Amino acid sequence: MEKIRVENVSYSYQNQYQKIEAVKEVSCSFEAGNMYAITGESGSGKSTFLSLLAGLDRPESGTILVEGENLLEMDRDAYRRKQISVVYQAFHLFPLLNAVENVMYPMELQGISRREARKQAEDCLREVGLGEKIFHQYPKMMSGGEQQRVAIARAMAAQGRILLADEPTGNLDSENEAHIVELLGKLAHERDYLVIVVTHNPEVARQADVCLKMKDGRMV
Amino acid sequence: MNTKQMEELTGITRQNIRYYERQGLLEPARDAGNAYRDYSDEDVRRLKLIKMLRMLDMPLKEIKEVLDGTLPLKEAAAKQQEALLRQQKQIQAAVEVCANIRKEKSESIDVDSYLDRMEHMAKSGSVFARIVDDYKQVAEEERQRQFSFYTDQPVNTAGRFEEELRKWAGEERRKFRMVRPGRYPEFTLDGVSYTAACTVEQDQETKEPRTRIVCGREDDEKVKKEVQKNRRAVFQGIYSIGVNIRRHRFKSILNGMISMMTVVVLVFYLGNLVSARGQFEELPEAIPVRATVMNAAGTLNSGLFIRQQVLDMVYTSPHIWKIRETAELVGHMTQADEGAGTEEQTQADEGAGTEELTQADEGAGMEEPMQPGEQIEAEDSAQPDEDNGSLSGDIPQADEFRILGINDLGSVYEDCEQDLTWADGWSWESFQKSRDVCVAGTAFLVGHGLEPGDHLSCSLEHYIRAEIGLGLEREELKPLEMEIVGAIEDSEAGESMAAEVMLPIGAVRQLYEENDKVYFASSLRFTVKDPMKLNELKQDLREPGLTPVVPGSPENYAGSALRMEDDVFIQAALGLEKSISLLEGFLPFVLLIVVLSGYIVPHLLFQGRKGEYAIMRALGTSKRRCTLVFFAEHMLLAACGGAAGAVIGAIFGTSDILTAWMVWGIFLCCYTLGAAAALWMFGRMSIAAVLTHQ
Repeated sequence: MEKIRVENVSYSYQNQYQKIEAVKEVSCSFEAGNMYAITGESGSGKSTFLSLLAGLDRPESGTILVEGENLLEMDRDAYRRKQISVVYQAFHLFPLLNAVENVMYPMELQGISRREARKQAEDCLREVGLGEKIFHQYPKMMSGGEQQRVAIARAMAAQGRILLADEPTGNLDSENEAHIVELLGKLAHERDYLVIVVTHNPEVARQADVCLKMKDGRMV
Repeated sequence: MNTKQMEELTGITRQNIRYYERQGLLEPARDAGNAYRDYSDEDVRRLKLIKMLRMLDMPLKEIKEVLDGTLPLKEAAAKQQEALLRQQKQIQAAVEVCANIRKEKSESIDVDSYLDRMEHMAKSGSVFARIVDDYKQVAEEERQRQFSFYTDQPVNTAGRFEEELRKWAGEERRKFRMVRPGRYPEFTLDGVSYTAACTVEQDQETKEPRTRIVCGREDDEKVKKEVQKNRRAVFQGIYSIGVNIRRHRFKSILNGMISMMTVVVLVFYLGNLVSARGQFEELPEAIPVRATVMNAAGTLNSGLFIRQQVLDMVYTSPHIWKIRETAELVGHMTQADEGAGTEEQTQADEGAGTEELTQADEGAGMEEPMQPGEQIEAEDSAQPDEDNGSLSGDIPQADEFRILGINDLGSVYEDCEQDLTWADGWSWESFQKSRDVCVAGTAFLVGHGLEPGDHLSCSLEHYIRAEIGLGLEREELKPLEMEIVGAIEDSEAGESMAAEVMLPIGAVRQLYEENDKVYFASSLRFTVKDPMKLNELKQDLREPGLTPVVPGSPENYAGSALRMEDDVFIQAALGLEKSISLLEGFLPFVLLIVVLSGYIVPHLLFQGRKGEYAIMRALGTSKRRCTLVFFAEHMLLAACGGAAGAVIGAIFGTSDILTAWMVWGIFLCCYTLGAAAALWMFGRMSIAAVLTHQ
């Protein structure tokens, strides 16, 4: 089932010296239940493209249809809260919240009661393979792999079934990298998630169902 | 020892000892043979401690904690002291209510009213205390959620980890129990579950690695005390802001300090401006501009002929107040009074009628007393005699005395009021409204054998211009009989007395009317009410013919010129105006600087928190909410720093506390504008760029 359709999307931004056309007339579609890998060299526009899909940036032209609805016409805050979640290379967990509370955060934004959110957060953490001993630990107390799992659990808590990951294994050792990629694959295949991973790691790309390559802002 | 011995030794009843046992405060050993209780010396000590603490009204729960060692005795004593003080206040309030009931006149009292008042007292007294307690409670709960400490030794094994935790708990007097040892040990502190982990960090100073143990509490409903749900959320918010401030303490202190310094500078600056404005507004009071009607040459300030048109203009002008008008007459004692008073009256009385005076005559009149304020600035020092402007510059005859119509006692001499004694039932107000009354100097009264309450009969003369030349003539008016209603102790005033007998100016005017004569005032002085409109006033006064004094003009007695004592005022006003306009000119720039600092400070401080903001936004937190959180934190610090600055400024500055708070308000408004702009710019950052590149 088609989850996201991208039609002729272009995006450029002005840096200190020049205008950079990061994404040029990209068209593609993504289906649920698959794990996509977008690869490319640094500066090829893959991270920018992911930001466009996450609703963090607004395309200059073209349309992004999410389940048939134009992203540009949607409340993008609500879109990020309910339909999509992003996992980053630097994990980006809240340092003052423990694992459960980090996962609860997006649920609380959705208005889910604290008790229910806690229960679901614990389920999510278990699902990503984290035991109870991690539940009440704070990011500083966790290893990189554990932090990335918590970040994935937090992404799952949004319950939007679209998970975008920007270099999710960039800060991990090979053992943790394999675990995370396996986890993302599981989410796609067993939980019917649409998983899009931006990576420059060929090993990660190899494990994706579909591998897309970007060069100079274009999908090749 | 057995229970009976224990009872005798401690003075505590058997029932109470058993009760303490049931509550777990005491656990005596049992005799191996008969299972009777066998109390040790330690039990005696415990029981005595229990008795002592019970006498202090300490709850059993806390006594138990003291005995268990979980609550230090000193801490328990401090808590109990607080509780007793609270009780003391309640008892004091109750005592006051009892006293009020006793004071009730009727036997029955309004129970409902008393009940309402007592409930209100109880409520109002405790609401604040409860809020503070609740906050302390929530803050403590939040504090205990996560804490960390450093260890002296590296933590390599689970055993070492447990050892360090035990050591820390012992130092903190916390009850520690290990539940599950390991890399992430689970344990309880005072019955509350925690997990811990250790990290290795680099010491900021020595750059050596050191081990830090971070402990986190499980979200346990048991530890949450009874606090309203909404209140808990607000307090948690406040606490979180506090934690964030502490986390970014360098930036927070910087923010607070900058705010404080800005407000201090503002308080000094605006304090000066307000003070200068205040001085400017009070200038007419501080440096009054007085004006005197003079003759054209400016040599005479009294004994003039001041026309009614001039008087009308002065009295109707809104820019003039404190008018002092006098009218001068000459009196002669009539025969009847002479016997009683001056026997030395001479036939000078016969001179009553019209006498011709010349200007040469005036010179002889220099011995006439004049009030100091009326001294004339002599234009020509070679002719000092002309400075005396008195119309009575003629040679005074023995029975003559000067009569002055006045509308202000200051016209007699300054501070005359202090030397004036009114006859019974008389005052300045009643004097002014009356006619046929007068006040006289004591020298005059003694000289004529008169005293307040007596009647003074006299014939009257007034001055008119000579028909020929520049001289003056006297013209007879109807005789007058007056009651003496006050005496001026003039022994000290001496020559500064303007006249011997004083009449209300209204009475003098009436005299002129009755005699069908044209009234002229002899002197006229006034103060300018609004010196800022000095030019307007001068213009107005030109209408009835009052022109500036022109030295060298022909000498005459016409009150046609005006001397304004406005030099000092104009100089002071110009100086202040210059200062004010300078300060006001800079005001927009100063406020702009505050707005800019309000922009620059958060702009710089928030740079390091882009990641925090970006992830909140990426997770779908609305821009509004994110902005509000950051803004509240920043403005809270700015407000606190600013308040400190306002207090410092008020203590050491030139402004009062009200101005300081006003400045604080202005600062907050300007700073808010700047901070809002900074946050708006901050919110425009590319979240994707921040999250991707971090």
